Amino acid sequence: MSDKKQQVILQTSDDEQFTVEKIVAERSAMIKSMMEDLGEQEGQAIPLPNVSSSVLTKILEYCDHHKNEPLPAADSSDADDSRRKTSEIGEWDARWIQVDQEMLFEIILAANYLDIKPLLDVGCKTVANMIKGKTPEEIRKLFNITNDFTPEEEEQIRKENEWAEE
Amino acid sequence: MSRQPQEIYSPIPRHLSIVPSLSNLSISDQNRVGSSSSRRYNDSSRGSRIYTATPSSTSISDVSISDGEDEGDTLGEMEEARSWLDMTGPSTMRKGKGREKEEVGLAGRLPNEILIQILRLLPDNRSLLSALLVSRSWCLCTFPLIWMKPQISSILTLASLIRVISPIKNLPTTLPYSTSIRRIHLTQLSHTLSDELFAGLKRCTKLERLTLSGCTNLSSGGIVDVIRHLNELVSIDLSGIPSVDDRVLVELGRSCRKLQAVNLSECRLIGDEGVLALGRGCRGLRRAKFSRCHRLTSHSLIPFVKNCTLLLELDLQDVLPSTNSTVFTIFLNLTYLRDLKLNNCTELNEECIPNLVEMKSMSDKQLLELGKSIGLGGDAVRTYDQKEDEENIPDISFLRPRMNHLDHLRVVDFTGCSNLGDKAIDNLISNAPKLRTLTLTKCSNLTNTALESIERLGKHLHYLHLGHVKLITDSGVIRLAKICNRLRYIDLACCDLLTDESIMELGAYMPKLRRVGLVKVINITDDSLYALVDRYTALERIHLSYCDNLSIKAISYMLNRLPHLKHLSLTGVSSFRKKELQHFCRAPPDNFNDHQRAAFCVFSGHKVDELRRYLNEVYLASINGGGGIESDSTSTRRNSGSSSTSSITVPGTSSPPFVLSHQWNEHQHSTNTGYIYRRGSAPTLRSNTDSNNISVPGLPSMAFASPTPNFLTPPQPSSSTFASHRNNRSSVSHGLPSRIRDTIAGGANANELSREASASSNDGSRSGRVRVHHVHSHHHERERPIGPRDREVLSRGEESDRMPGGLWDEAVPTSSSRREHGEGSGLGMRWFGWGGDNE
Repeated sequence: MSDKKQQVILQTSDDEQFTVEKIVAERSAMIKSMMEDLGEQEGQAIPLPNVSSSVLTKILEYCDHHKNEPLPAADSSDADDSRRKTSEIGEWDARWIQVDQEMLFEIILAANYLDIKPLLDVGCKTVANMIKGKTPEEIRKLFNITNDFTPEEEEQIRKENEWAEE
Repeated sequence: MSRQPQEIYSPIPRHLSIVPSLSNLSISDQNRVGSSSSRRYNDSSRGSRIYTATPSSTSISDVSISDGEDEGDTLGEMEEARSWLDMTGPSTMRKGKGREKEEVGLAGRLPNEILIQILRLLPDNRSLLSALLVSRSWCLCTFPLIWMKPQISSILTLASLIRVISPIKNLPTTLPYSTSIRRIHLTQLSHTLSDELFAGLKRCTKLERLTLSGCTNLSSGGIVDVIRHLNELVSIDLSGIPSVDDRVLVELGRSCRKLQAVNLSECRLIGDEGVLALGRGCRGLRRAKFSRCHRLTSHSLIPFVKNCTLLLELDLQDVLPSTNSTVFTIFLNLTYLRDLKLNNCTELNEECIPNLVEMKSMSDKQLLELGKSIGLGGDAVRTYDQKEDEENIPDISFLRPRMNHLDHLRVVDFTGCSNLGDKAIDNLISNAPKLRTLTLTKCSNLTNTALESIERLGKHLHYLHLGHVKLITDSGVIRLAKICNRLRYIDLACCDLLTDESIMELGAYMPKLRRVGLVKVINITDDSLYALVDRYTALERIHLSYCDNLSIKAISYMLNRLPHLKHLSLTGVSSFRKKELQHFCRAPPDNFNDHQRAAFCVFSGHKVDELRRYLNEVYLASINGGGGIESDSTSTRRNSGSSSTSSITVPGTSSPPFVLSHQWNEHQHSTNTGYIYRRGSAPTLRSNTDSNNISVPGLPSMAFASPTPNFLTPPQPSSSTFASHRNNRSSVSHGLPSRIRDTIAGGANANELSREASASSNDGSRSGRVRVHHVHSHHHERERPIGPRDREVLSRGEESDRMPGGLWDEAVPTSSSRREHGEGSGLGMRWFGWGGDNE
């Protein structure tokens, strides 16, 4: 491989192939470890059966933008915490993640699968911001969730957790 | 209580782990992996405690979300509860996808791990309570977040929580609330917490941290009754509960085998029997605090230390019977020790600390001799191991050091160990080469020899307390200052042999110094203050009480050099015994008598800024009359002294390439033009858009902000700062009240300007270059770039335009020293954090 810009081929669930810079693909810890496992087999596509091409396109955009940032430490429970505490989303990220809900959840699922922690964070924070301050009914509406409680259950649980309201 | 078997209940995700760092600890089952499917969490859970219930017979992953949709059954029925609790299976998504109706959005199909991660980001319980009631699967993900660390703000909250988990008529709660509780912090309930209510916590069998500090109404029996059920307990804080006695410790040793942190401070009833039982049962202890448990003796402490070799924090403060042999054993056995407190253990002397390296090479016989000499002879050995049959073969294995150094030891507190000698310190430093915080306050036998030992810590040493170590002299401190130059804090209170010379060295060599304690270092004079703030200006707290030689002028100067100053104590400094100055002083403590009240003079927080401003505005006039002369004379004096160092404008950087142009100084003098003292990228007042803006590479921004009014100009011309140009509209001759009025009137404007300045000067520092802006100002002189000499004289009288002191603060990021200190002494306290629930 030429040492200048190593390329990686990624193959999506809908059989599209993406040729990307290694440094971009390595944002995904999953792809990174896969590449390490596979060794340097030229031209071999890495299959991503859980990611569609439309989602991958979007995610590669993110990876490309962040490609020069340090990778999060492999074992970083502390760093995890500190990241979670700052519930702010970077400006670029916030703009980038302005997508419809379907895509947002696809991105989160893919980020989880591909193991891109900062991206998963951005996704989760975005959803959390959507939930914040809403009533249960508003949340159900927002995400199209069916209320599967019986009224009695709902009331009971509400009562049992009343103390937490302060 | 008949209750759903716990293992059926949903696993609490591992990443909710409370105690991530426990991985290093020897808890056998810590890495049990739960049923979660996500690879990500398998990774991230490495080293975490796992909250998954024991693997259940019901295969959680086989149950799909739709099982829960059979509805309508009454809640009391087991089957119902089981079925909808079972929805937590990680396979929800996989299986759910197939079965779900199209109308269920993706949100309904999110894996629980992700949903939980999202819910954790919700800021408050209100949002969580909404999420709780969205749907069953959301409910299951949400309730552990609400219950894991219940925030109990009042006795009423606790009462209603207990009511929920203590159901009547044997009906189980809808969800396994009681076993979801991991941490409870009840300190704030203090005396209102009764045994009766507390007993409700019995059901929280998965409780890992319990903080009861100061709940004085609990009885020993009540506590025993509850902790008997808390087999998962990792940390317990019983400090300040007077009834805690040996029974509690025995129960801890019996039931709480996983205990890693125990705080028994001020549990004065506990004795050797309890500590022996605790040490036998809880061998995984990492933190133990026995502060003021005055009944403990080496009979229990030595065995305790030998059993609990994982200890990293041990607090024996005021455990007066602690002997040399106890401390000796500590140093021989506690490889991982980080933090050791032995305050006021007056029994300790020269011999209490072994020299590990020497002992390593000793023969058995020598070891035995040494052990005997220290009180670790035959009896001590046998008593502990209780091997009466072996009484002829003394067990000396523990006398053989396990290591050459206590590499983890960072914090040692020997306050008040008045018999401690230099040799003990020498061995301490040899054993603990990375000590960061060393407190030797009132170890009055120590001499300069101890300081020489301490020197070996070099840059590792950050905090050093030498108050009342009265024998130390300038020569010791001067050496120390040069070598241990990373000190953040030094306290030299009452070391009355010290003079200005010591303080000058502190000022010259310690860029990171944040706090200085000089109470009753009675010989120091104004020179100390000038020197202290000459090079570095990061100081935040200064204690100068009873240093009676200090003048208002020097203190005003110092105030203007120290933008971060948050505490200044001047009790008993006669120059400050003035009504108008004490107006800014904080209220004396209630328990002070009238005499003490009269002398009390401590400024803190924003009062420091107000004092600075007041001095600048009001004292400016009154002092300035004679001030000129005074400062001239001082400056002469200072000049004759060393000034090669002080003439370096910007300490810590390579000599800055300032441009010096023509005879600026004379101009300044003659024209009385005002200039701002300016250092680095400090936000100081400057003239409109284009005055000089000088940044020096490598300077922490703000560190050198020091606009100083003229009358307070540092007496030596070559020190301090360089001048920068200032808009000179209000040029007036010095000392005139009119000028002061101008100042005040121009305050708002100045404010703006300074902000502007700070912004642009930050730019400068970022670009890492020295920039000199030429000024387009009304004053012709302005066209000239400034040079290093410029700083030597700032025209008298102009500075009044300069910012009043308070202006710095808004641009100043709060300093990090407090944080550093916390980390330094805390050393991973977060692992257990007594009462860390508050975070």
